[in-house]
Amino acid sequence: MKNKITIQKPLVQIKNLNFSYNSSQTLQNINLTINSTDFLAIIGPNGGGKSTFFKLLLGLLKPQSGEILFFDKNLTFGYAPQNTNVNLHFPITVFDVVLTGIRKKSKFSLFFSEDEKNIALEALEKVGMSSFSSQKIGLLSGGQRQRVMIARALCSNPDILLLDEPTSHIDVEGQKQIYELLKELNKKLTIVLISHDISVTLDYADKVAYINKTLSYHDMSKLSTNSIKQKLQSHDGHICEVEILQLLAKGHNV
Amino acid sequence: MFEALQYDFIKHAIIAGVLVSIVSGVIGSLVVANRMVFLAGGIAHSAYGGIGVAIFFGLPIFFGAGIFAIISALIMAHVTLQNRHQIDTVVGLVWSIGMAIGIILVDLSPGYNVDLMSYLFGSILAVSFDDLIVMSVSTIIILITVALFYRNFLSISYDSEFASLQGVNVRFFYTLMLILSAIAVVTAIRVVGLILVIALLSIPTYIAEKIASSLAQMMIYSTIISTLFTLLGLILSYHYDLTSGSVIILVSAVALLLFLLYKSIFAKGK
Repeated sequence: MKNKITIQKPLVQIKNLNFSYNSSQTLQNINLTINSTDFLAIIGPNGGGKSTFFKLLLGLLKPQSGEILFFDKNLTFGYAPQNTNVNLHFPITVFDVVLTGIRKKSKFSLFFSEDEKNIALEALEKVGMSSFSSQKIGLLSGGQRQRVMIARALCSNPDILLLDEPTSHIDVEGQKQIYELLKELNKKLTIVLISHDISVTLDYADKVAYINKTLSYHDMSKLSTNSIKQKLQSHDGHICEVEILQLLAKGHNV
Repeated sequence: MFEALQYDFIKHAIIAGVLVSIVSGVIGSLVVANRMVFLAGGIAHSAYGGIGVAIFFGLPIFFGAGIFAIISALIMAHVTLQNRHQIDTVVGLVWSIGMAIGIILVDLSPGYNVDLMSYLFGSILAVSFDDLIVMSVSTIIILITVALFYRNFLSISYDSEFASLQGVNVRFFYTLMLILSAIAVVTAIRVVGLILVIALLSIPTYIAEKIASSLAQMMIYSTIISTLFTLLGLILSYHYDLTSGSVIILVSAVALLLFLLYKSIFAKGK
């Protein structure tokens, strides 16, 4: 069941990981290697363990058995949450939201230093939101807010950017823009995202992990994405997501 | 009106009003931004138990109320962080048990003659010089703590899940925030009383939240708004010989109403 380590540098290796809440097994014998250039999409049904997997990766939960190995001790994660609609009335500007992504160096730093402000500005530029920096966060659209959350995650200069359903509250046009942004960011860092927009995901992700208690892994660069698409393309030119899901859930030998 | 300024009790009242406005502006902003007005209400009412204890044992009122308020803040912080779904019940319990203890102890106190109403509804015109010292010290404690940890408070108030991923000790700062609320409530009891303190913590802050674009701005705006309400309420209460706390709250409520009216008309006009 070992995953192939390709030429890229492996960053994280998950070995025989098991996790359960109370009595029900949520994740069973998970094996996965995350490599430095990956654009890894995690798909699967609700309640299948995707979010639990993320929490384990972030260290918020501890696995009951198995291990998560980091190849570099200083490996850092950036995290963008699923729901960006919380606290919309909170009086905070876009710039200040991004600043909260900076880890404090000393316990008692009262104000943000020029360096810290520059980091935040740079992050906003990367996601194309610098012109909104003095806007209140609640006035932005869902897509814009997700960009700000990505900028906030970028402040810690992460090796791996984790996104939990980054496009779930966003219109189709906004979704495409987010994926284009992630594709651009993927040139410099690893992207791992939970997604349910299967057809969009296939256009951008090069690795797909299907999690439903167990994990099935697919290297999309080895599978010909086009051939899958051709195979599944229905008459109106759309891809049937259900069929893709079934295909990916079946296992490794697609 | 100005001839009133020569009296010490008026000077004390004005200083007390400003101190309470600073405290309620700063802490009220945290309380409203974190949607924990109900928790602050529970803390305020439980402090009444402390007043009872203080009267019964002959201790300073601020001390008794402060200890009780801080204990209930700790209970509420613990419950919120452990079993969030039980918080309603626990706030209700702490709220009523605190008051019950207070009333029974006052009943049992021999030769009792303290004006209880003044702790429930405030009596800003009876603030003594010693009260002012205590209030100044607690205001300074609150200001320094909030300034030192502003970034952490902002971070956990806006998105506590993200804050914990950033390595911010959410438990510690959430608890600290409730302890500061306890101190703020006790600071305000002389001026508006335990029952009305919640309005002062929330009304000016509510208005400020709508016009501010940062938490710090919200704190400053609501301090200014709160000062205006308190001083105007003070003038009216002096002039018509009415209970100060109630007048201050009604002034705030009327202002809030006008603000909402203005906002809705303005929004329609757009």
